[in-house]
Order: sequence, then C-alpha cells, then structure tokens
Amino acid sequence: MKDDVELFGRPYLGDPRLDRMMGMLFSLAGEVAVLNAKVARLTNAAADESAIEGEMQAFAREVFKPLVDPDFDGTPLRVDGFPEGEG
Amino acid sequence: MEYSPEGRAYQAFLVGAKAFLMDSLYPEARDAVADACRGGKAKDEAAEALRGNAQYAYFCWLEHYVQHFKYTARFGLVAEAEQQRDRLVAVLQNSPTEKLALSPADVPEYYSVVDTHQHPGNLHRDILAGPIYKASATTTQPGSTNAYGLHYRFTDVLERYVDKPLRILDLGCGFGKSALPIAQKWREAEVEGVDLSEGCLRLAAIEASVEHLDNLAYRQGDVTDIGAPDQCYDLVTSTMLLHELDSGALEDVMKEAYRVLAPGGRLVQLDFRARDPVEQFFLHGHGQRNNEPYMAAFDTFDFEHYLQSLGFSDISIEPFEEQPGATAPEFAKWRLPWTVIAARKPA
Repeated sequence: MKDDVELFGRPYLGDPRLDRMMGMLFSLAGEVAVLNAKVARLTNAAADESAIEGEMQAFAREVFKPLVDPDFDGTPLRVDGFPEGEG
Repeated sequence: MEYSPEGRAYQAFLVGAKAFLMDSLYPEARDAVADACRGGKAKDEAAEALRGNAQYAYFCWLEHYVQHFKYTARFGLVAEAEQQRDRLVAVLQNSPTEKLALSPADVPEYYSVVDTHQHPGNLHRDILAGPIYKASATTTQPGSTNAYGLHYRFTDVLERYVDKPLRILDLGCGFGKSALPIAQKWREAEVEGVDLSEGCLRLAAIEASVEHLDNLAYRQGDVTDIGAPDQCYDLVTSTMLLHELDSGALEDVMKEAYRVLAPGGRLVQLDFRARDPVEQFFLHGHGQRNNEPYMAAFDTFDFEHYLQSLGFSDISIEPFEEQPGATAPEFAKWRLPWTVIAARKPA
C-alpha cells in the first residue's frame, strides 16, 4: 500500500507548475483584497471594519467561484460566424 | 494579538476562501470521493480513482494552502505577530505567576519533528506561538461568532459523565480554550492544565486571570509523563490532543490517565473519529494536508480494546456536535468528525 503522503500529497493539482500557478493567483487575490480594503477605508466607502471584512469574504468567494462553475471550461473559443480553419 | 488593518483584511479574505471550501467546493469533492470509495475500495484504490478529478484536487489544494497562507503570507499571522513582537513578549513575560508553573522540559520527538497545523516552528520554539496559535484557532471555523463555543459545548457534554468533580486535569490545554470553560463551569473544582508550549501557557494564565478564575492553574509538561501523584483527579480531559500523538505517546497518555484518576474517575476526550470510508478518506487526507501526520494511525487505533486492557470500563465513543445539526446526515458542509471518547476507572 502506498504511504499516505503519496495518497494525499502534492502536487495537489497533478503538476507542480499548476500548483505554483494557483499559488500565484492566491497571492495576487490576497494582495487585491488588502488593496480593496485600503481603498474602502480611504474613501470611507465602507461603514465600518465589519463591512470591510464582509466585503473581503465576498471577494474571496468571487475569486474562487470558477472552481465550482460547471460551464467555466465550456466557454466557446470560436467566434460565431468565423469559419473554422481560417486565420 | 492585534491585527493591522491590512492583516485584518487579509485574514477576512482567507476566512472567505475557507468558507467557500467548506460549503461550495466540499459537496462536489465529497461526491467524487464517495464515487471513488464505492464498492468498499481500499484507500489507495480510491485515491487512484480520484486521480485527475478537478473538484477533489481543488479541495485539497485550498485546504492545504489557505492554512499555509494564513501563517506565512505577507499579511499572515507570523508577520502580524512579528510587527508586535516587543509588546507581545512584554505582555507574555508579565503573565501572572501564582497559577503558572513553567519548567522547560525536553521536547519529545513526536512534538518536535512536526510543525503542527503548518505552524512554523510548532508551538514550542517561540513564545509568540501562543498568541499566533490563538489567532489561528479562533478563525478556523468561518461564521463562528464565539471562538470558544465548541469548548463550551464540550463542557456541557462533560456533565453527562461527571456530577461535581473536584479535581480536574486538562491534558494538552494549549492557550486554555478547553480548561477555561471547565473552570468556569465548576468553580468549586481545582482545574489544572498541562501543556508543553510556554507561549500558550503564559497566554492561558493571563486569560484565567482576566476571568478571575482562581481555581485554574497551568503547568508546563509532557502529557505522557504527567508528574502527578496516583489517583489524584476525578476527571481527566483533553480536546484535540490525541491525534497529535504518535502511537507510543498515545498509549502512554492513556496509561498516565488511568494512573492519575481516582477510582470511579472519568476520562473524557474530544477528538476525531471517522464514521464511514468517505469521512475517513477526508480525515486522513486532512492529516497530511494540515501537517498532522499521526491522524490516520489515531483514527484506526482500537480505543475500546486498549482502554479495556488498561482496566477502564464504561467505554463509549460517540459523535459530538460542534454546532447544532452538524452530525445530521443532511449537513452538507465540510467538518471534522468530532467524537467524544469516554471511559471510567472502576471504583
């Protein structure tokens, strides 16, 4: 029997490059969240800290929504009316 | 520990990511794991069947890295604590000493070789581990409005096993999140918490003092060698300790608990126990993803027979509801399989 590290271990996405890409996305999203909060405070756009926290949580959900969107990878790449094989 | 505005926003972002993992990603990952486990497949066969499944892979990635980033990101808990180091160290070093016995012991190997929960340096290498661990532990369950809520629920469960215990020992008490509610419930009892982490114990002593709990004391030590006389406690508890022990330490703790319990005394421990193969697959995977390497061995440890062999009776292993409805079959969010393991030392 394989050991548990191999059963459940990295790379979680099957390829270390994908894990790193996801890590970059996660880091970027975190930086944007912090920046969002700064802007909200500077512009007094949020009523209080709990409103900012709620906004950051909603932001995280929005960032990761494609992970559970069944249509996300079904986006048509072909423009209607543009014949395949040309260009 | 206080957060900077950036740190607060960043931790809120992580809480949102964790909530997404628990209520949106988990149900899909769970379906995939249930399919993979169907037909009584062994764990490695199920893992093979899951290879390439996107939802399970995303779940695993997020479970590991939300925790990783929580500690180590630019606005993570370690960086936040570091900015306040001088102030936090001063506060911790001035913790009340009347009810705190520190005696730096040799750190056992099962403890020193693991950065438990991905906590850099584990809980014993830096005094700031106390406030960092508290900040981490109190944001683990998104939506929880009471950081100690689970522990108050466990304390209520204890009443099923004991009436009015007068001498209580809480093993692996950490920063006191389990011992404090117990001391509040039984004010007439003497409650003692034992843990290895100086940073956690100092924080625990401060919180006990703030709550005016004169009946609560803390002592630094290894739970496998409690250092207390025989038969001196009516109740021995632990919460989320056992799965952090290797098999040798786990057995030693049970032996020590039997030794220090008075005849008729109770051992009541809150930990995790999978109820079916799917839950087991997630629990053992969680152990790997969250740096809790003894989880799988603990989950399959035969408690009933081992406790019996030590002389315990009235052994029970029952699910625990960390929040109302959590053990109902229709509960769809990710959760750990909380379980109460209880036993009695014959009178």
